[in-house]
Amino acid sequence: MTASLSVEPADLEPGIDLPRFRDRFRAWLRKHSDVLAAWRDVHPASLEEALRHDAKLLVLLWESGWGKWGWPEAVGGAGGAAALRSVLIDELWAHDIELPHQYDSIEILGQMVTDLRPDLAQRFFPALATGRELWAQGFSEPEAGSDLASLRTRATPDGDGFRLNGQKIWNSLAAAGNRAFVLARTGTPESRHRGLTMFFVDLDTPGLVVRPIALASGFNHLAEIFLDDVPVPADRLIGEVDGGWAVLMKLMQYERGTYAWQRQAKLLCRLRGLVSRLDTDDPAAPAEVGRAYLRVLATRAKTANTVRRLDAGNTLGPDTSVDKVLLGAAEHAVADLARDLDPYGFLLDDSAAAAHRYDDWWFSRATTIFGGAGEVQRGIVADRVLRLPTEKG
Amino acid sequence: MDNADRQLLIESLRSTFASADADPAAALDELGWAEAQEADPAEATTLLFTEHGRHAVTSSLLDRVVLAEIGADHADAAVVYPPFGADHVTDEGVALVDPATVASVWVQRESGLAQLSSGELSARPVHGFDTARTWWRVRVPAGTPAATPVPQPPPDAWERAVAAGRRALAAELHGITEVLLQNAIRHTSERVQYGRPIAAYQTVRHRLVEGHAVLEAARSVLDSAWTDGSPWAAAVAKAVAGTAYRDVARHAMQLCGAVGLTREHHQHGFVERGALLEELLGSARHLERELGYRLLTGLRAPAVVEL
Ligand SMILES: Cc1cc2nc3c(=O)[nH]c(=O)nc-3n(C[C@H](O)[C@H](O)[C@H](O)COP(=O)(O)OP(=O)(O)OC[C@H]3O[C@@H](n4cnc5c(N)ncnc54)[C@H](O)[C@@H]3O)c2cc1C
Repeated sequence: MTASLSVEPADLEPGIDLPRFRDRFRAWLRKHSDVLAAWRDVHPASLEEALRHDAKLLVLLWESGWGKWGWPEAVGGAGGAAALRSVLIDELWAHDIELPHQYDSIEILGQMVTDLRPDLAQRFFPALATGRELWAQGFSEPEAGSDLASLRTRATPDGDGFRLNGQKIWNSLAAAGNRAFVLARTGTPESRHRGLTMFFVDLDTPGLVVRPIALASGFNHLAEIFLDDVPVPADRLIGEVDGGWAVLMKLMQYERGTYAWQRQAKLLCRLRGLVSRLDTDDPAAPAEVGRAYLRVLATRAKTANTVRRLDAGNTLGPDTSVDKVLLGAAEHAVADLARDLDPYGFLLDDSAAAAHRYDDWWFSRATTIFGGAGEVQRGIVADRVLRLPTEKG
Repeated sequence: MDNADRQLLIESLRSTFASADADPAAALDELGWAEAQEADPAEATTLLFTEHGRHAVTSSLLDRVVLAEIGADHADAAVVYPPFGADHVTDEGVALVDPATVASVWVQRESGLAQLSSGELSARPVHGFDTARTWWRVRVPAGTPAATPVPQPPPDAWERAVAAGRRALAAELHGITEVLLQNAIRHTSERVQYGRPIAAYQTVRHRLVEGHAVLEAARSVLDSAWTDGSPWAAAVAKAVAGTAYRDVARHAMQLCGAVGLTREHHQHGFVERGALLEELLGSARHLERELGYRLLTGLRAPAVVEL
């Protein structure tokens, strides 16, 4: 039924540590290099096609057991330290294997549901982990971007549950998604972040419409979600009523921490690919390559600490915004390097590979906007880490 | 090292570096530094050199680090470092102590590592840009006689010595950078213009945050360089530390305004010393070019950091 039959299962001892896990996974990746070649250097024509192809790798990882390590047994995982997952992600990229796009959703939302609603995770997580489902984040609104606490989508009590009315926008992976976290107002219009509640909403609920939005590259990374009297049962709350902001803050530590680790692994992969393809006698090239490499390593070192701290059970605070600041600089440096060192090859190419390079480039710009724009991250660090006088003086 | 031990060490390092007359190297011997160093070389070295940087002092401690890798006794020897921008000594180099005070110096020449008798060398003290501290410019003419007897250091001794020196210098730069950043934070938080503290203005806040972010990254990179242990990782740590120093110094000098550019403010000492340490054993500019060149000529970019 699945390709997983063609690979060896993960046979690991409980409590395996990160270095041993890494060694064993590396050996497995090398052994099955031929099978895994299907996810190396692939250039699907659309995000939808990519997701279908990526889902097969998710199944392979899950059924062979590797993808289960680091997830609790209660949600179908094999147990072990959560950081094992970060090792797996890093090694996939290190072996030039494109990380399934679903991982954004798995690592952030899968983790959130596992943390806060293990009952829902037990039901739905295995489908997310194997690519049969995809979950999205519905926070931003047309008039609530950086100032998210001003959002206006309303949740009104209705019997045991709620009804949602409003509009969400810029929702990653929602066009192909099945469920979404939706942040809505349960308090008064002026209640700002105190009057918000997080819901876990099925995207096929009547009254809900999703419209894809293509990134400039043409790939449908984004979507908008229209909510017209959408019923949500009471058991689909994540956190408390009016406690949505705390849920969002918890989510942000994964988005700014573990996700940043995942991104740096991709950047290192892209940098390696770029310099191995490149044939340049541009005298400025060595310094530019070195600078981009150092930016990636700076991000890698800092986010590795974050992953370790998360793994040790620490709650991460505003410090994860530092990771995001570093990541933004690394993203821009690597993407621009790809363009600047080979401008002719980069800018004038209609191949499928080029389409993905353009997608990488546009996405690099997005990484300093989503999850809190670079300026907003700096504001958080200024206020809450450096404790500078606030902007209002 | 547990927290209490660490705190104790930091305190004693502070008082050592704060008393300007004593030779810190001798004071450290009394402190029993050698044991701390042996128990946890990474943490002890990083603590020591960070504190060294925070006090903007000069000493022969870097020589000890370098000589230890060469396998040479530091009691009666010194190091002549390549001049800034070079990776070996042709006819001139830089020293932290007067070569006349030791019997021999170690120097990396084009032909390799050599131990030379210091009697034949001419050296002159220079303050240069680092106005309050003394450096030594040392002439090392071709044909300077070797010291006797000549022990044979292992073939990779200089490479390892440079790596150890770079890790120490990275920590020292972190100390300097931290002082510059903290100064700028204090100054801009206290100084009021247009009716608000300067640090309430967004461009000012963002510069300070960027400084904080590069310094945090530099510290993480240095920890990884110790774990990794390779000369490559040490070069990465030195380069990132150098970049952090450069960025923070630029912001700090801007944000402290006129007073920060005067002899009446202590900022200049940190800017000056940092500029020399940034160059010693390879500047960020030099290293990023070198690392980039290796990547472009076939080396698969090392990950350096592992979980
Ligand atoms: C690829 C991508 C994926 C995304 N995925 C999701 C998702 O899955 N779910 C979701 O809910 N949202 C998502 N977003 C939306 C994202 O969170 C918002 O775009 C972001 O919060 C900024 O909002 P905005 O675009 O409305 O920009 P605005 O808030 O209008 O800001 C525009 C620009 O102004 C500047 N700016 C804003 N505020 C300040 C300030 N206080 N100080 C200084 N400068 C400031 C910044 O440069 C900012 O980029 C995604 C966005 C992108 C690009």
